[in-house]
Formats: sequence, structure tokens, C-alpha cells
Amino acid sequence: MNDSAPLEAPAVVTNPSAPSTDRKEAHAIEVRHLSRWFPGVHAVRDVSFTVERGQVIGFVGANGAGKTTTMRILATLDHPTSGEAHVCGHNVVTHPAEVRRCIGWMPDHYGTYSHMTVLEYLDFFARALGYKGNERIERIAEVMEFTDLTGLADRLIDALSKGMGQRLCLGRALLHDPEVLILDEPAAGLDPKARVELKHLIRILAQEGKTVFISSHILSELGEMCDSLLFINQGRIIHHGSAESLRRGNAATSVVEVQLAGGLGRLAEWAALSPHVTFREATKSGGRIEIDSVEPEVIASVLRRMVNEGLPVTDFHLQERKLEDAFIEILGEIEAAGMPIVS
Amino acid sequence: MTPPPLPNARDAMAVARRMQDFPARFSPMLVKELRQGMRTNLFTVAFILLQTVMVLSLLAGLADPGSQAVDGFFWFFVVVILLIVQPLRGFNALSSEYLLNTMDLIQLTRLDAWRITLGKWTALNAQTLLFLTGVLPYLVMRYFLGNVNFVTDLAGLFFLGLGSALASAIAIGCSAFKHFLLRGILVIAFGIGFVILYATLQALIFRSGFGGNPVATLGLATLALLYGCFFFLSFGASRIAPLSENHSTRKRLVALACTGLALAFLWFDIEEAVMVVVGLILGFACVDALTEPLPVFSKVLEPFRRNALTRIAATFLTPGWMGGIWFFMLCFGAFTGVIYLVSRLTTSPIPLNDGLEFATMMLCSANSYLFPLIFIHLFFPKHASGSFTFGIYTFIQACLGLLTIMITALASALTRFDDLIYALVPVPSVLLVALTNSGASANYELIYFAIAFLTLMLGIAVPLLRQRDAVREYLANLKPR
Repeated sequence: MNDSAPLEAPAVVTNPSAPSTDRKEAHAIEVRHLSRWFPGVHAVRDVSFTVERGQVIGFVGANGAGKTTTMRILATLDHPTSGEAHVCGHNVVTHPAEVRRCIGWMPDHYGTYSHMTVLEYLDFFARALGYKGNERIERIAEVMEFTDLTGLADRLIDALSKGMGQRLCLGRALLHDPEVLILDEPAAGLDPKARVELKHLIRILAQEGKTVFISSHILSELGEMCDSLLFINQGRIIHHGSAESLRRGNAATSVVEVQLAGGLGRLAEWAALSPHVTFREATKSGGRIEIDSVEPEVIASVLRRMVNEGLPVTDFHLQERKLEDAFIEILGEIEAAGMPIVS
Repeated sequence: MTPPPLPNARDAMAVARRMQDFPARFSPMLVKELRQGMRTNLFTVAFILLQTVMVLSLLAGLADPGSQAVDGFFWFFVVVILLIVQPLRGFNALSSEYLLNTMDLIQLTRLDAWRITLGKWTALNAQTLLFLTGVLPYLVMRYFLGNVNFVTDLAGLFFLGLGSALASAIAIGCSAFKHFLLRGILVIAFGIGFVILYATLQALIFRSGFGGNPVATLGLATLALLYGCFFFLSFGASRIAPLSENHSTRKRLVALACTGLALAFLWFDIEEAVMVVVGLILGFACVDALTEPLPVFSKVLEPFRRNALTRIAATFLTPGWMGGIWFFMLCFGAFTGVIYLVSRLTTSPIPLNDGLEFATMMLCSANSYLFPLIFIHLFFPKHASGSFTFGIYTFIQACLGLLTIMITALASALTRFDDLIYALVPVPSVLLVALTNSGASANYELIYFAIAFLTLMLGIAVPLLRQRDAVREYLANLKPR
């Protein structure tokens, strides 16, 4: 057996022959009470969440929070100590082969070979995935086109830059056209240009309806790409929700920054006379107002009233928390409450 | 996946079409390893060096036909390249996949652990074949120069090829261990074993020993070497395999099949050689079986739940040390029976002592396999079903071997050593020393037998009792659902 495997016995599956869930109805990813411990370390603790098909989910957490362990279990590369995980309706422990067919895995450190070109690397994995003849050639060509690697086909892998390497790794993960992509820190260590390119590729994949489960430290990037974010801390899920809801937080009011042509003008006066609106503070060319609702319709009606009443509005935007701030705030709440918050 | 339209779509197809240099039926791992391996400096340098040496030895042969020195020079380089350089290229074969972080990626494809290991070994041997074919023309030219037996040379080259295959399998099998030191120790230990075995087999074949049937002995040696290759490749494969893969049943069935084939060579009156080969095959298979972790996924046991016959087979063939113990008992019983029958029925019987002494000796031999399990399960219960079991087992065996050597040395150095030996007779190898000391065995024959029998029972009972929860779970998973 794998000599890197930890000593603890994994969860013994007592009914492996039980049929997998109906694949069409199944969630892309379903995790129930998943735990994994290594000698002296409880890496994942009672984690439960679901990811619907076609969603892009960001998996956020500090180093050692349990992201990679969870992702490795989902990719059938590790086994849970207890709990269950299903990908495309297949149990990762009892039906690993089926799970592997429907996932594309991209680890945080992509593996390279010496004395091997980009083309040979893709060819090796295409062969290993069972592609033969023209189908193999077509898959390689398609992936090279998508990741824009055609021009690098004859370059030795160990001479690739980090960004090129990540594109190659993504290409390898896409060779068998998987339904679910599990990407562990794909943007780590990339320069801004390579990061933009990678983000672009992931956006295209998301538009094509693929489920993307992606971990990253760069929250702002995840916020742009993801339908929802999953925060993990010390092996526990502490938040699961959209980036919007995170930015908004639990507030019942909205803060709007308003800029007026010619400075503050009569914004404070207008706010004092308007229902649902409170003037908060003045800024260099306007001020901040607080609207006692988070409903978009109410916020829009406030803007409409401002314009109708002759205020020279040049900028009107909701002030949102940065995702990083939201994450830190959630961590603070957990520390204060002494227990995990799961939404 | 629909890619975004890019101008180089046709280019990509043209580029990808270049990847038809190897047929699709070739193993992906073989293709990858060949592409990589033949680009390495080591391969290129070794190939050029061998060709240079061949040309030089040919020229030297022209100057001094039939010279022993030239002959030695020729074979020395062939042996070094085939038995040292080529096998050592496999030293990092599997561990490098971990080091490069690519093992996970490969395991997510359709390649299982066995195909990964086999592919690497086949690629290494394909390159060895290139060396061999590079040597062949010089062999023919040496024949034309005279004083050379072409058939013997060809047989020698064939045997070298087989030896290289086994040595490569040893290196690749041991390369499954990530720790450089452990890998090194194992390669050295198995390497020494390989040299002894190889030299013995070569002596058997080329010096017409053991009944004087070199052709049959060559066949038997080939079988032994092929099994050795299978064993070491399986050894490596089962160590890199995910927990959900069962490699044990195949390993044990192949060992039994090879034992059956080896026993067929009894027909050619080479009993001692057959016994050596059967002992080696079963010995390796049993040590591996006794140190396997118990299966934690009931899926692995699913095929054994089908009917009564498969459930009986499960006793001996299920993965893990528990099935391993019964497999060992089966093999050992069969081996004892064969030795007894051979000593009684064949034309050149193996001399055996009768009765209790024979039984005690056989029990001692069995105990020498089981004895380390008592220590492992008593003192390292957490490691009893893990990946380090083999390492601990080997370490305990080495310590017991050392102890026996010390006892033997003391026995020959001192005049009164009996007490020391009596105190340590529960150690099977010490009991064997005591048995060979005829003065002692005459008086204590029954006591020795009882000790050996009790040790055997302990060897079976201690692991089962110490790991009773795991055993209970394992048995529950075997029950029909």
C-alpha cells in the first residue's frame, strides 16, 4: 500500500454495492459529515456542503485550514476517516473509478517530467486516460487550442514558466472533458498576466456549464468568478454563501457613497428631509448616506429621488466590505462565539 | 468542452498528429518511459561506451585470438552495463513520481499500480534489449575469430538479459519506498541476495551441477527469475496502490502456479534445485503475505462473498496478514509434504532425519517466518497493519539473524554454552542451532518439539488476539450480504 498513507484506518464502507445516486438528479458535489484526521492533526472536521451542477464555488481558507485535504478526498486521492463524499452521484470511496472519470484535478504544485515535451506530456495522459487513434489526437489538439499551448508543443516541460505550466496542467485536467473541475490554488505564484489568462479560461469553462470547485487565497478574484464561496477554518466550514451576501454581511442597511458636481452641496440637507435616508459623513466631493434597507428597489428609488429633486449626482455606488474583511470578520465572530457559524 | 475559436486550430491538429510514433496498443507508461529514458545522458553514454568497448575487445581479439584476458574484458563491460548500470536506473523509478508530484495525476487515469510498475520495468528492459542487440554482432564476430563457443555465449547473454530483468525488477520494486536510505538498504540487501542466487543458478546451468541436466536447470532458473521479476514488481505495485486495489490475491495465485510449475521439473531428476526454487518462491510470497495490511475497504472483499467456494478461497487469498497467515500455513504444509515425498519416492532422495526431529525442524522453519509477527503485534500494534510492517518485519528478522550468529559463534567458542542456548530456544533460529547440536537434541527432542509447536501457536494466536477488533470487522465484511 501507499507508504505515504497515514496509519489511521479510513471509514469502513459497509455497503459498497449500494447503487450510486441517480446521476442526473445528483448534486455535482455532495459532502456529508466528512472528517479526516492524521496522527496528531484533525485536518477536516464534520464538513458538509453541496455544490450544484454548473456552479463555480470558491473554497477559501488559510494555509492548513483543510482545503487541500478536502479536495484530495473529493478527487479520490485520500480517504475520509468518517463521513461521505459524492461527486457526480458517485461515492468517492466505493466508486473511485467512476468519480475519476467525471473529475479534472489540478493540484497546487503541478508535476513535471524531465526530458519530456509539452506535446508528449499531453499524449501520455491522453493515452493513460484510454484515448486511442484519432480521438486521442483530437483531444490533444482541442486542449492545446483551448489553453493556447500549440506554439509550445515542442518545448521541454521543465523549461516552462509557472504560468505556462499551469495552463498545461489545466489542459491535462481537461483532456477527458470532465464534468467537475477541482482546482487547488491554480493561481498561486502566477504573475498578473498569467493570472488573468487563467481566470479567463476558468470563466469560459464556467460558461460551458462545468462545475468548478476552486481554492485560492486571492479572495477578490474568487469573488468575481464564483457563484458562492465556502470558507473553511481549522477543518470546519464557517461560511457558505454568495460573494454578494458576504460583502453585504448581516447589515440591515446599505451605505452609499455619493459624489456631486460641485462638492457636498445640499446632500446633508436633502438626506435630513428624505425618508429611509440618513446622512453619515461628508467626503471630498460628496458624502456617505445610509439607506435603511438592503433591497435594490429601495436603493434605486433613493437615487431616482435624488436626481428628480435636482441633486447633481455624478457617482452613486454601494459601499461594500472587501471579501478579505468579511473573512476576517467571520473569523472574529467565531472566536468571540467560541463555535463555528455555518449558514 | 467547446474551445474558443482560435486561428491555430488546424496547426494544433497537425502538431498533435505527430504523436503517432508509438502504436496505441503500447502501454502509455512504456511509451512515456521510452521517450524519457532514451533522452537521458546515462543511456546515451552507456550505449556509446559499450560499443567502444566491444570494438576494442574485437581488435584485441584479432591481435591475440583466444585470449582469456580479452574474453574477460568483453564480458566485464557487458555484465556491468546489464547488471549494474541498467538496473540502477530503476532505483528512483517510482519514488521520483512522488517527488515530482505526478503519482496522483497518474493514479487518476486508468493506469493502476501494476500497469505503472510494469510499464516502467518494460521500458527499462526494452532499453536493455537495445544493449543486447548491440552486443550480438560482436558475439558473431568473436565466433568467426575462433576459440569461442557461440551457443554458450548466446546462452550466457540470454541469462544476462534475464538477470538484468530481475535486477531491474528489484530496483523498481524497492523504488516504491520514498525514503532514500530505506530504498538503498533494501536494494543492497536484495542485491546481495540476487548476486548469490544468480551465481548459484549460473553455476547450476553452466557447470552442469544438480543432476547434470543443464537444459532442465536453465528452464527452472528461467522460471525462478521470471517469478522474481513478478514478485518484485508486485511488491512495488502493492506499495504504491490505493487502498481500494487488491494485488494480494494475484500475487499468491501466481506464487502457487509457479510452485506447481517448478514441481513439474522433478520429472528431470533435479530434486535439490527444484526444492531450492520452490523454497524461494514460497518464502518470498509468504513474507509478503504476512506483512500486508488488512483491507479496510469491504469492496476489496466483495468478490470473495459470492459463494461457498470463494469464501473458502478467501481464507488463503484475501489481502492482509490474516489471510497471509493461512496462506503461509497452506504453503508450508504443502512444502513439508513435498519434501517428505521427494525424500521417499524419487530416485535421488534428499537425506532426512525421521520422525520428531524432522517435524521439529520443519516447525522451526515455519516459526522463523511467524516469530517476528509476535513482536510486531505485541510491541508495534499501531504499525501492524500499516505500510511500515514490512520494514519492521525485516528489521526484526535481521536482529534475530544477528542473535543466531552470535549464539552460534559463542557455541563454537565456549565449552559450556548449553544454558545459553536453552534459554533462547523459543527463538526458532536458535532452536535450529540447538537441534543441529546432536548432543543436546538427543536428550531434549520432545521438549524441543513442544517448544516449536507452542511457538507456532503463539505466532498465530498473538496477532489474531491482539488485533481482535480489526479481525472481527474483517470477518464481518466477509460474510454474505
